[in-house]
Amino acid sequence: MMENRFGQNVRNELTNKGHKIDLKGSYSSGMGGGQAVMRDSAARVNYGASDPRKDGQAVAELPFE
Amino acid sequence: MKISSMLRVFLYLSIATVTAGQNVEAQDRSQGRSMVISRNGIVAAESPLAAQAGVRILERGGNAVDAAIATNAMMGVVEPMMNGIGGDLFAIVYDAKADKLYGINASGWAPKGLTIDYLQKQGIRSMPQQGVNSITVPGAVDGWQKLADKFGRKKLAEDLAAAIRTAQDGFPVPEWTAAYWASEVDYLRTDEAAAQTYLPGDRAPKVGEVFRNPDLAWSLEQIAQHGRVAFYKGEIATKILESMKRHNGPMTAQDLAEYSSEFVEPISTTYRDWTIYELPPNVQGLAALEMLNIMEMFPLGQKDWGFGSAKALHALIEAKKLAYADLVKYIGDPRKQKLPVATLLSKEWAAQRAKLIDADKANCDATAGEIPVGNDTTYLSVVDRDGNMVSLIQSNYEAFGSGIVAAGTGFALHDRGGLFSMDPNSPNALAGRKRPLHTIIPAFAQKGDVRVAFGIMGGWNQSQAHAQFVANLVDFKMNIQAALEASIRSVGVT
Repeated sequence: MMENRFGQNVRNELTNKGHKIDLKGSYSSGMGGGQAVMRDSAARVNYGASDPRKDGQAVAELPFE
Repeated sequence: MKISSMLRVFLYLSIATVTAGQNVEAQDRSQGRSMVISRNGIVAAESPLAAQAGVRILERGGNAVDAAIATNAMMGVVEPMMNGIGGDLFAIVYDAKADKLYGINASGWAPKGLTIDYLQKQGIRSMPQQGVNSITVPGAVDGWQKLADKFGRKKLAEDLAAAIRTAQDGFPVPEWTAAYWASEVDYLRTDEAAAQTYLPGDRAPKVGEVFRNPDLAWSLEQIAQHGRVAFYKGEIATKILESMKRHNGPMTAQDLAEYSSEFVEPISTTYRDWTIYELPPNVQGLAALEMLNIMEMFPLGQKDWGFGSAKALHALIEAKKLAYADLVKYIGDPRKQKLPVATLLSKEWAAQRAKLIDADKANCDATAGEIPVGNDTTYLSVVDRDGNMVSLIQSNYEAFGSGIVAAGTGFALHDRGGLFSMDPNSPNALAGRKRPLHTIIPAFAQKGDVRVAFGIMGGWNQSQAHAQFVANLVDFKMNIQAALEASIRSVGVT
């Protein structure tokens, strides 16, 4: 399975090596979906990321009520 | 042209030049949105409501673990096909103050009476993927309790409050979730209580329609009041056992009451200048680390290689096939047998395996054998303002699990038993009180002061998705948002 954002040339090269390709949409839910947070503890700064293959998002808290 | 408008044009051009000069990539990038950046806590989840439930707990003084529980509870309400308290849970927790990583394995065991012999006597030859004989004890609630007791600042009742309220009052169903729900209508109709819970008006709710689940609000309230006891010994247990009786299932009161999740030591490998952590078996995380060890033999980030190059893709695909073949051959429940974890994790093993990769030709023999492909899971991660981090994954296995809802509880019992093998020679052979080889894996990465809690739900795809994410980060120098969004290729596992 490959998302169609991989170019035609690359797909041809892989096919020539013997791989069978099942082409999917640009952001296929068949690939699953991820989330991530990152912390730089020296800078004390946090980062968040969320996969467009899903309904979700990363949300930051306000430091006060 | 007036002087003022000339000035404006000049200013515009200067700003444009400065901006482009500072960060050319930001002007022409291949990612759909920016990272969220904050000095305070961040929750990343598959639902905005769930992320906000976690953020609320952070704002009220909870830490990353409290927020992860709140987020997970809300995910079970708003994405009920993928996860919920009828499923299993795994997490990696980074305790910033102690500078220590903890793992928790809250995967349930098979009922004592669910054995190969028991199924064969009923004429069953391969592991059922749905129905009562696919149900193992759900581990998630015991996982919440252990995490809250060890790390939490809040009571479970406070962590669960937003989920309880949302289950009671209802929520408008989002896009992806609605599409998934609609494809499960026939499956839900196979169980009366499942249809009653999830098909109001005998159909799946459409995008934007409000869905309520008062039975789930009741179950979560029981847990809020009584903790794990409600689920494994109390009123929820009573309802689960009533359902077992009706469906003639082998699970007993002892199977529920005697279950306990466990803290485990994460396993790790180095990948170039990073350290990557996964959880040890019974999960597949070891395959991600073995795959990374093999990938490390190839200069993926160099010129002529690079993201999306046929050379790099070929190396990743072939590494995946070898690592997964080992997974299926060697891995099962470590409580029941000795597993060659250290060998499979070694760089020497990876070097041997890498020799089998032909740069010009796809290897079609290194298949992982026949393994079922359920992938209905939610992943979430949290970092708080003190730097504590949680990487948590939780799942029903397949959509709406076994398809069985114990009447009055509002959640589907998972079908994780479907992952056992009925081949008695397999390390993953079905046995009572054993845990199956498990798909769902949280992950963690570290390089110096930088730590990343990440995961990518999606059945057996997860190990290869983790390895791709790490390559995106380490070899292809992407940020975490770009690394998640990047095109994925996935190699079939059967």
